[in-house]
Order: sequence, then structure tokens, then C-alpha cells
Amino acid sequence: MRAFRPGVVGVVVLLIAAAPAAGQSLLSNRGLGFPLVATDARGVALGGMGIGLTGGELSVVDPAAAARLRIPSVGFSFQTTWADFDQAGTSGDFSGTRFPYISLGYPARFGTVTVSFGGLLDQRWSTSSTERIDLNGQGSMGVVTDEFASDGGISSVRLGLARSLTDDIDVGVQIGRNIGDVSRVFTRSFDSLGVGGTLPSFQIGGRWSYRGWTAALGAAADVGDVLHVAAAYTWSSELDALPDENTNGAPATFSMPSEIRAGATAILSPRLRATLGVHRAGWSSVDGSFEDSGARDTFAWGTGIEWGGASILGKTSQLRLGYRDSPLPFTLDEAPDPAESVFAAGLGMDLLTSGEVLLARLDFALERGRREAGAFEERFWRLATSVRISGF
Amino acid sequence: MKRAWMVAGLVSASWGLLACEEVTPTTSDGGLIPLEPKTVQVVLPFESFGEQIRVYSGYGTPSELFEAVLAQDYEGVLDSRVLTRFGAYPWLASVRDSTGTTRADSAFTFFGGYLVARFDTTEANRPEGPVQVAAGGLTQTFYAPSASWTVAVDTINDRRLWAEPGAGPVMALGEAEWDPEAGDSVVIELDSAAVAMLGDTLEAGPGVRFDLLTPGVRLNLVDADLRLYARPNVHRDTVVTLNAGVIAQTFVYDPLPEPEAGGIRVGGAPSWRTVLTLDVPEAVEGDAALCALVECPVELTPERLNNATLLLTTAASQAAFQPSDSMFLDARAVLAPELLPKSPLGTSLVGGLGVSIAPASFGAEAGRVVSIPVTAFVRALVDDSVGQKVRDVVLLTPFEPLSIGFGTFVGSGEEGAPRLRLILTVTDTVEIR
Repeated sequence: MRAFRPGVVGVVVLLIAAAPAAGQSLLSNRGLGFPLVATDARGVALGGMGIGLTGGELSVVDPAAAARLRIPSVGFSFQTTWADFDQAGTSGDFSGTRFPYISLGYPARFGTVTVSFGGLLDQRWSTSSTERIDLNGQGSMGVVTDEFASDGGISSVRLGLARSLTDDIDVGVQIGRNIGDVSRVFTRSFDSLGVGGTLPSFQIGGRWSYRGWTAALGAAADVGDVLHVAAAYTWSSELDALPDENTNGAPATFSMPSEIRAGATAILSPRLRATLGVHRAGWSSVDGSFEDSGARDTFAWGTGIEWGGASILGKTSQLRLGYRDSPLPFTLDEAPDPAESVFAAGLGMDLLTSGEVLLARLDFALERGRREAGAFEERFWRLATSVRISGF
Repeated sequence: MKRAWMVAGLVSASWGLLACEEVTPTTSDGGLIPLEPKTVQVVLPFESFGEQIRVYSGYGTPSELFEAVLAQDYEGVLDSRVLTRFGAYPWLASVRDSTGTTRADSAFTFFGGYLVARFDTTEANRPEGPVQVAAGGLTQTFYAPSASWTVAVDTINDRRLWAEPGAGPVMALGEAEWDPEAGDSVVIELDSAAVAMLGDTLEAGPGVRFDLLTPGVRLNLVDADLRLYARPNVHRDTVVTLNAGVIAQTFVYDPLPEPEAGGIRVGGAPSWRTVLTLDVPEAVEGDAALCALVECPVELTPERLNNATLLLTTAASQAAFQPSDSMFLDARAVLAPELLPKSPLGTSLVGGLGVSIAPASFGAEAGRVVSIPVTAFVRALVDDSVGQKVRDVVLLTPFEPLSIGFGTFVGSGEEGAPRLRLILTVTDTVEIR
């Protein structure tokens, strides 16, 4: 094992910090935002549940997975989205890059210690409209452009410990904080001709910080040599949204859902594996907290298949296909069943190995997805890249 | 291992580049805006927001203007004369002698010369026909920053009047006709006696007074020169022309126009300023039409105040003092009213050169409404977090003086009195739910 190199980790952190976070869906305007899954590109290509995967030791949502980590490792991921939408006759498109997670694992005598940071909810969206208004009730008309922009989100930072109880059974626990912030700003711009002279824009808004606790408990087991299963339960305390000193808006508290995840990998042959994962989130706990949208429990599932017999540029590689079906938690009266369905394909490359130990791996996933909510439809392409580096 | 790191780094960097194109999910569905803002316009009469109007004079001097004013019974009122003092005569010149060699000569003899006056020929400042211009030698010294029609010098412990009002008397030097169709300058020849008289001190005498002899005319003198004919000692057959440069210039005029009671005056030389003391109400009652849009009374808060504009109505200035070019109007907060008329002022509320107003607005087209932005000033007035309120705002030209002409606006108590237009946006607080 090589000596720890803080400079290397620093470079990784800088790279991630340099990547701006961008909105993932126009559906971010509902409830607490658009749910994110902190999964690497391999997990994305295998159905997106991120649990119960062999070789998924740095998974943020699988607390027990790190028990099988043999050397210090770091993993992180980038996702770039290109999307377009149609809504009641209007359409638009957007794009952006975010980083879903970074995870660090360090094996110790008593187990593997993990530190992870992953996205939970995205709240980046905006709307803009133009209208004519009567300034004095006597026909003095002016033209205004209104814009409302929400920028922010909620993430989870966790400290975890995972260890093997037996050769076949692992357990893990995580504890951490749900954190983040959001700014919500309304801007009204005036057509200078309509009101006579140049007018500065009117702006009002606020900024809130999110604070809450979260903990997760998980277990994984091998069933013979053909099946690997895992499950996790995540609890979160109420999430406090606290306005900053310049914000007139009120503080708020939201009930965060408990979540259950389960997943399995079937080893069909030495080179062929199939995965299945499910995720249930009790979002109905937050129903009634929002003026314009409701919330409901969700049950998502994803499946995938991985073939490990490929070789690209002389490197052992894996080809993957997957599908995910996810109901979305935040609803509108006219759109009670928002949902997302995604097809994915992926490629993994073992860049460097030392005996049985994988030292560097690169994964790609390309998703084609669709989201529907009543008359709203959103289609997207998303390209994810994950890097995992070990032995630093 | 190094290669793996390199690959990982390249991939990471490539994603960083891809991240350059960030477009936030945006819709044109205004129904998603969780607010119902109302924007209204309120126009307050002077009685509702104004307390008093005060006019002050004496800012800057005519000597600071780039152009001096000549006038003779202009509009039956205005007389104005230009006073110019020239520097010492040159004492050294490079002259070619009889052998063709250029030599420095300091022993030459002045035997004549001429005065050149150049005038502003832009449309608004050009007389309609030829005018007669005269020059006379001053018999008293003058101090350009304080000279006026009756006072030659007015400094600490030194106040000297002209022997005759109007910077007189003078010793006639000559006169000439200037035809604006023929050029922009007039030349007045000087004989050797005049040159000797003007050069009998370290400076070129007390100075020269230019008069306009043609009545009913006002024009601007851009600059003047004194050019001297000299015969060098090294080559007596040669005549060289040397310049005595201008070291001080101003103009004196009569009468000094007094402002009308209650009126608003800005500009002139020296400049006028007008201070408005505001008493903006905490809430606007509003009429029926306004109250149909928003709940009345409408409380004035810094957040709601989107724009505040002082609406002034132009009035005709005295004919002799109407601006001949665009006038610029600025507004600034009076930071220490107790020190008026010498109070320090805040930064410009208007920005740039100020609000431009066509000269006709103070003459044939009087009655125009001019908007002066005072948003920052009024916002501070209605902001409870501001401890010491600044309630006085001064109207002035951005440069003082700007011209002999000044702007006049309708004062309080008359039709067209100042008004305060407020644009308010009333809305709920942005919440997170």
C-alpha cells in the first residue's frame, strides 16, 4: 500500500468544486425539489438503485458495501444533462453538469471508515413571463417582465463505518447531516418606455439554509457464489429551513421521509451479472407542507445486466444495460402521478490492477429518460462519468 | 500508475469543460410564480411631499467658463464685457541674421501689433449679421475670479471698485467689424504707442477690455491673442511676429438677475442652486382608482419603492439669460443643511452629465416636464433603518458655472409645481413553502 497523498485528494476535490451544479429538471419547482440519486456511473447503468452491486464498495446509499474495501479508495462522479420539455404548448431546453457524489473509504483494523457527500434534492429552476399592467388604474399601461428563480438544493454528508461479520455477511452504519441552502428571488423588470424613464428592477427574495440529521443502517450478504444481496434503511430527522438575516420569509420545517433500499446481483456466469434494486421513500410525510404541491410515497425499481468479457485498449472492460422506473414524489392537482423512466447503457474500464486489487477504474453511463406529469413532458440525455482511484 | 492518474485527470478536466454550458430549467409559465405583485404609480403634489424651496447663488465665477460673453443691450437688458490680461512680452526670439544663420536675439524693438479675438460660431451663438467690436486698455488691474461689473478686486482685505461701473474707464485701442460669414475672428490693429502702453509692466499692462458695440447682440468670445511686431537687432530688415499669451480672462455683466420668489433656478455664472426640502409621507392615501388595485393606504417602504422621480415644469427664463445650448441638471443630497449654502453634497442622484434639457424649454417651449430621478434619496427617506435622515436635495448643474444662461422651473403654489412620482411594487414576502 502506498503512502497517503493529500495532494492527490486535493486535486480531486478541486476538480469537483470547480464543477458547477445545474438544474436537473423543471420539476424541481415542486415541493422540496427534484430527487437525486447519489450513484456512480456503474450504478446508473445497472438500474440506478446503487445498492446490492458487487464491486460497489463506495456506494453512498449502501452502508454495508464498504466492508469489502481492501485499500483506501476515493470515487467521484460527474453528470451532464441535456434536456428539453413541453408544457401546455410551450417548450424549452436546458443543460448542465453536476456532481452526484464523492465518497472516500479507508480500511482500518475495526472496519472501513467512509466519508461521503451526495446530492439529495435539486431546487434549481426559474420561470419568466411578460405582461401589461395598469399602473394607476386609469389606463397608464406599462410592460413588466417577471422572473422567479430558485437556486440551491439539499445534500447529505455522512460518516460511516462498515465491517464484515462473517465471510458472507457485512453490516454498515452511517450518520450525517442533511445540509444545503436555497435562494428564491422574484424580479420584476420594467419596460422603460412604458413607465417613462429607466427604472431599476424590483427584487425581493430570501435565502434559507437547510439543517437536519440523517442516519442509515445496512446489511449485505452473499448467498453462495451466485447471489449478492443488500438492504438499507435510512432515517432522517425533520429538515429545518432557516432564513438568513436578510430574509423576511419565515423559517420552515419539513418532515423528511424514511427510506428503504434493497438490491441484489445474480452472478449468472463469471462474466455475466444481473442486478435488481428497489427503493421506497415515505414522502407522504411531507404532504401538506406546500401551498401548490402535494407529496406521496414512492416505490422505484431498476434492473440491469453487466457483461465483463470485453477488452478495450487492452483493458478489462464491462458493458452494461439497465432500466429504471421512478415515480416522483411531489404532485400537483392536475398532475397527480409524475414519473420518470430511464434506459441506460454503460461502459466500465479497469485502468489499473495489481493482482486481484483494482487500483483505478473509469465508468461511463449514457441515459435516455423521460419524465411525465400531466401535460408536462421532459426528455433528457444524461452522460455520467465516474472515477475510482485506490491505493493512494 | 501515472498513466492511470493522467487518464483520470483528463476525464475530470473534460467534464469541467463540458460544464461551461449551464442553462437553468426555465419555463414561461407565470403561474409558477408564488407571488401576486402589484405595481402602481402615484404622483404626489408638492404640498404632499415638499416643505420649502430655497435658491442660492454664487457658485463658481465667470472666469471659470471656457467662453466669455460679450453683450450690448441684449434683449434690452444685458451688457457684458470681456476682460483679458496678457503675459509679459517675449524677450527672446530666434532670428536669421544677414548671413543666413539663425541666432537667438533678445534686443529687438516692438513697433506695433494687433489683437485677435475668436468667437463661437455655432448656430445658437452666432449673430445674424456683422457686429462691431472694440478694445480698450484697462487702467486698473483686476482679479479675474472676483471681478464684476462694479468691483475690480475683491479678496481678503482688498476690495477695489472700478472707477466706472463696467470695468471702466479704458483707453481706446481700436475697433473692428466682425462678420460671422467671413470667419470666426476679428483683428484690431495696435500702433506702437498702444503696444508700448500695454507692455510697460512685467505683465502686458492691466489688461484689455473687449466691448461689443452693436446693440441687441450676445456672443461668446472663445479666446484672444496679443500679437506683436518686432524688429530684431541682428537683422534690422526683418520683422518677426511674437505672441503675448493670455494669463487671465473673465467677463463682467450687468444686471445680475434676481430669482423670482418661490421659483426654482439652476445654472448661470456664478451659478444658482435650488434646495428642496422634502417631507415624504409614511403612507400614500391613494385615489379610488389606485385603491382598486392595491390596499390603501399604501405604506411607503424602501422595498416597495421601485422608482422616485421629481417632475419639474420648465418656465421661461429672463430673455437675456436663456441658455443658448442644452442645459444639464443634476440632483444631489444636501448632507449638512445647516451649513448651506456651503454644505457638502452627496454623489449625483442622476449620474453621468445629468438630465439634458433643450434650451428652448426655457423660452418658446416653456412648460415641458422634466424628470429628475431621486430614487435613492427618497428610499433613504422612507427607510426606518436610516438614523439621520437627509431631507434636502439640491438641484444644480453638473459643472458650475455651465453658462451665463440659467434654467427656470415653476415653483410651489403654481400650476406646474414640482411633483413626486413614485412607482411602487406591492407584494407578499417570498416564502419557502
